[in-house]
Amino acid sequence: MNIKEIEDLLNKYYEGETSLQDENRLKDFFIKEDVPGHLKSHRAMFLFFASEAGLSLEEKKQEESLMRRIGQYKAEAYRAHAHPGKRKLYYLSGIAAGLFLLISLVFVIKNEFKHKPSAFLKSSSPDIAYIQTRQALLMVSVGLNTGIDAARRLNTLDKAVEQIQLVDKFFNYTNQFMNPDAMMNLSTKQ
Amino acid sequence: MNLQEFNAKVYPLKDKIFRFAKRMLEQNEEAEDIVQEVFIRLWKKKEELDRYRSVEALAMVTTKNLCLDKIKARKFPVESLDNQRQFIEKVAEEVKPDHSDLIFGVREAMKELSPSSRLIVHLRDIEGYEYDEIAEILDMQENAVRVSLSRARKQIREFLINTKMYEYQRN
Repeated sequence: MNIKEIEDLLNKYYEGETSLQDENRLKDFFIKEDVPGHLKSHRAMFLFFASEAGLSLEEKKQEESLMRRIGQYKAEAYRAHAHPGKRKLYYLSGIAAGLFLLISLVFVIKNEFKHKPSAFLKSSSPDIAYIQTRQALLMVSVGLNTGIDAARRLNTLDKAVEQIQLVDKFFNYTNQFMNPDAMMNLSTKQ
Repeated sequence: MNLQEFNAKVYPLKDKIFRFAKRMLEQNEEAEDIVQEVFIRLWKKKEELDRYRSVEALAMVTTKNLCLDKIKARKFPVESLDNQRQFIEKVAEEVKPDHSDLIFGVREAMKELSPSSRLIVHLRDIEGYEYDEIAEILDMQENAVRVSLSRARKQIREFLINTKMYEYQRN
């Protein structure tokens, strides 16, 4: 390439008048080693541009994390789309479960009353009911009597404890007579 | 637009998006996050994508806006750690054998540019966009793009001359 041509291009270059093609020619020229001495000072710039243009991302690392993030984004979008239907289904199933529970509870309670009516409701004739009631009351009264007996025995125990306490008091007094110091102590305390 | 079309038309933009985001944020990890964010935004819009004149311009505009948001959110600089990391990155890049010391000066010069002209230089000289595309992406007049591009190129050149960054190359 003509040196004169390059010089012209350079001038135009600094004025911002070169086309991209012109600039590529300049780059090609300056990247090669055999640049004449008086033009060498322009070389650094074009070398810099060329080396910067070669800069690239660390492919693998970048691709992995990008794919991961796009995957995340897709999943998010999918969830956002799928949500309304799924939500409805979720609520419906909840309501259904609640209803089922309520109905089954009602059935269970009904069955309980059907199969196990009480003894009183079962007897049809009033006479039998009367007798049964009397028997029941009798049982209660007998039970009550034995209970009272036991309570009486408790009463006698109470009396015995009182007498024992009397003996205790007696011992106390005799001790005081036999030990005047202790009596003195007692009186000062009082 | 289905997944196949998306993979064919939009996914290949990943490096351009990454470089653009990196130019704006001056940070690798955040730029990587931005790339993903841009793809997700575009994927969410996949039904409408066919209606845009240029999906690529849309992608770049989205990138720009997300980066601006990120920069705004940064207001309270938690950058000391980031700077540390950047420094390490830079050193690592410098160790690369091919012309990295030459390039280093230009990188510094780029940092001296105003944010908007830095982006213009990036879109034109690194990514090779036409002026109307740059105007669309940056929401500017085409002529204003031309003017600031010319000014920015001269500014880089001046910076390199003043700091004599290219000097040894003469020998």
